[in-house]
Amino acid sequence: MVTAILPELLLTAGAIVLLLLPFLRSARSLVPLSFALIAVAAAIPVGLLLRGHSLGGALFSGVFMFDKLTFFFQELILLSVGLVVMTVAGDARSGLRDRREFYCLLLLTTVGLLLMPGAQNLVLLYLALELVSVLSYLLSGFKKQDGLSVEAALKYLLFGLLSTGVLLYGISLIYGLAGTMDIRAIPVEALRQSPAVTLAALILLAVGFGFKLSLVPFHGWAPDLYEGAPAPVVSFISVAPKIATFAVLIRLFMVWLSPIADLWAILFSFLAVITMTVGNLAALPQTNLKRLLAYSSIAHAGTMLIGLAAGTAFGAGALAYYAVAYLLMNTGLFMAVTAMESAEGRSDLAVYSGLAQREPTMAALMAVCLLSLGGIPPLAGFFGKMWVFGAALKGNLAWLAVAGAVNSVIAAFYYLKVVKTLYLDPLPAGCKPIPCVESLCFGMSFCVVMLFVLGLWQGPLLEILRLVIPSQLPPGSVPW
Amino acid sequence: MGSLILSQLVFLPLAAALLTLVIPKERESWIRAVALLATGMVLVLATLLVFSYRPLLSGFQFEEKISWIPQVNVWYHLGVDGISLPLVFLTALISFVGVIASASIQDRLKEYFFLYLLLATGMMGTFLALDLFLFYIFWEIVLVPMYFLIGIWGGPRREYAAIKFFLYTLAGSVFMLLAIIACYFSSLPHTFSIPDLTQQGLRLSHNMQWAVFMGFFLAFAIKVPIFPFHTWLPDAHVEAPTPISVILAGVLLKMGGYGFFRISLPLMPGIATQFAIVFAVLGVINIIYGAMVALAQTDFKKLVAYSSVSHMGFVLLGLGAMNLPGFNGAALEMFNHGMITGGMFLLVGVLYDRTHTRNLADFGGLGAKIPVYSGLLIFFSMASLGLPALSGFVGEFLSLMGGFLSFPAITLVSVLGLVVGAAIFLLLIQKVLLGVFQTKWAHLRDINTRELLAIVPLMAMVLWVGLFPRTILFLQSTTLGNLLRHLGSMKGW
Repeated sequence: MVTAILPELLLTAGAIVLLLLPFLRSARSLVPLSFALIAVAAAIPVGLLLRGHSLGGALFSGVFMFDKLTFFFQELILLSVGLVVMTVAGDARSGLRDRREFYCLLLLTTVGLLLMPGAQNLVLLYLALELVSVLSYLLSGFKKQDGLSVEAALKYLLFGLLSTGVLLYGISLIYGLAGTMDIRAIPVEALRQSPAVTLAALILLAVGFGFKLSLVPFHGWAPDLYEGAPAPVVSFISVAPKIATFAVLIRLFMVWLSPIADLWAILFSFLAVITMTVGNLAALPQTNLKRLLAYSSIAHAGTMLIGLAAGTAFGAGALAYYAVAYLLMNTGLFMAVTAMESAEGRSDLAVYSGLAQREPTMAALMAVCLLSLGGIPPLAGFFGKMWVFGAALKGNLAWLAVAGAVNSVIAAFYYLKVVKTLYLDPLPAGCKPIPCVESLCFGMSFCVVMLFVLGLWQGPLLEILRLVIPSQLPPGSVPW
Repeated sequence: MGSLILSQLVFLPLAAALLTLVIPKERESWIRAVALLATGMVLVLATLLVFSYRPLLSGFQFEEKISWIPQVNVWYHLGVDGISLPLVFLTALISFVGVIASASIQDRLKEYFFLYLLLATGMMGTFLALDLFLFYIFWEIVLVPMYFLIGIWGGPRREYAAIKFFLYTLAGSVFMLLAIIACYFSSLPHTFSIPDLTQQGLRLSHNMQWAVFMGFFLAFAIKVPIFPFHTWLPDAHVEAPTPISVILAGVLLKMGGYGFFRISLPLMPGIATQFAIVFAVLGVINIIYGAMVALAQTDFKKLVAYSSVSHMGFVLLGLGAMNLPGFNGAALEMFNHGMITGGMFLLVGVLYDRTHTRNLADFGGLGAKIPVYSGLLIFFSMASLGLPALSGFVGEFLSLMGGFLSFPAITLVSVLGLVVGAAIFLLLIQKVLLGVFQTKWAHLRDINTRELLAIVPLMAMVLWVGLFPRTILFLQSTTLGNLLRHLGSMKGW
């Protein structure tokens, strides 16, 4: 039973050690130590699986479910956090790199994230989500002297508090109807009998989760936060909590609430269309790369939501594939943003002009990430879109697929605008080369290589996804 | 015969592209040599392919089929038949000629040839892929290098032209993607394979088949381009550097027509036969509209660009005819247009390199000053306007003949396009070569050997196909006949 939560225990202990132990005087050991902790946390369940241990199943009287879905998403979250630590290592300007409390907060947030995919009890789910939220507020306001950063954090905090309240209200309605906090035991008949209250509860839950996923119209915090907070923090907040929240949505809605899919599928369909459209249109006029990426990540969350709205195993698999691709391309791009922010201190598009002549390798890596975000084959980002659209077509949601397709053309425009800045715009006079930090170079190369590998040789990942998607989902439609 | 010849055609340029990445930037002649060698080898292989192809056999030849993503039944499946073979040769020749014409490119050479060779891979792959999944990937790979090639090395409005080209094509192809996915799910067992889908037909409702057909149609129509989706073409063609204009006109436009032959007609024969009249009408609009707009142009390059729109109309007319002469004409017109308009763009580039203007009013009386160039311009103009004994005539004649059998009235209207077409090119010759010589061109040099080297192969092909159209028609007739039989079986002949 304890082996299943060994990673969480390890990371908690590690966070405390990082903060308290006096012998860690040198700030240099912070990065390797955190990275090692994350690597070990990721390796433990893999090692146990390889040695023939089975995954735990429902643990702690069913509160926490340690199955393949949990395992997969936990590994994904740890990969994301590991890449964020590499990003921080390359951040020479914001001062995060040498602050031990930053690593402490990051690791504790990770613990919350790791609990989310497996939570089967609404109370645990709420607690894990709250742990992540509260620590994220702290992380985003980490630069105390920077007005923009503080403003962003405050905005994030206020939005977050409101949405948590709404989520809690939704949970209480579900409890009132079902009489239990255990999501496995929610009696679907009881929900059916009072559709109005159920719908209200579902809407409230969607609002609460929509905040985490920055779905329109709950996205107001994202652009300011992305612009104000240090790049590594944004890289973290834009990926890991979203992936964890999608895991929660898969388990809560697709697995346990699938009998009332008719009630929530249409809700998420509309949210998906609004989120994609508003996100993409708002990204078009942006002149700051971080702000542009905020709207881009809003739009991507909307696209992933199509997979959820499809409600099938195929939809869940497509969503998971998309999540992997999104992790790689977004994190890779934020590494470049971090490098540029360290060198130049800002991240408006103008500083990137002519980067191809200044740093050809970095520009090429960035361009691959951007093209993948824009959905150009044979990169993983394209296949994420393709499978999600496929799930929508297969689930008789052709209009959703068409909306997604139109949106991906709009999105291509602004990603290409960035590529244009990198390659077509002239290099301003007097630019110095950008110092190459090994961890950033390595991290970006890893992301880019993986984008190609997952695109051109996706068999293994598809095989893993087939194993991972819970068997309770509406079957028969997984194409792989 | 090496059985991997098709893969070599596709991936030799890619290998060369990766090779250019490791050559130091300063070694410009090495980079050029690698590009020339790679495209030259592709041309040799393509020629070998043409000679070892057996025209009388039906079905695909030199097939390569390897499982790629078994979980979703995706195959790496290449093959060549009578429809793709001439276009494969065209692509190889144009790519090679383009490298010679790229001598005028001086700036950021390494990036240029990397993108150029990547483009060559994408184009070749599009014509050889027999799996919709693979086809789509190659189709989209073409976009990215093309965007950069126009955007970095193009004319004054290059950024606008590049993004317009990219978005237009992408807008069409995302709907093709949805159509491809719909085809995939309609088949049992699920497959992306074009031959398999052709064989089993789409198990979709009539309305859904229309939706799928329109998805493909949109993608191909933008590429051809069919009026009113043609507005990207003049911008892209005019702003692109000379070798890229040649590739755009010579190869990229054919991807649309090829898509109709390879995918739209075989997969949805029922819809396609109903749609035939629309093809024919759109064809006439293209012929007349393109020619009229070309007539009004004062920019040399824009004139050639709009005349392409007109020529593509003949492809559509032949396609809509749904009979053997029409199909033969359409397929041959694609091949010929690549050679002729490719040559025209090269000639525009030669003049522009020397004078830095494309305004027709600036020229005049150049005929005596640069005689060799003038001869070439007259030759390609005559080929464009459809003079018998040159290749342009054969394709247009067959298209019109096929069109007349099916839609006499429509075809009669489109013959008017030929008259306007003749006017365009005769006026062009008059404006550039005849009239009063302007003294500012007193130091104009005639075409040089290198430029001649790029044009002569195209000229030879134009003359050869004009005199012996049988060489190409023989290659494609069997396949086109089979396609017609496939379509006919649906019509209940």
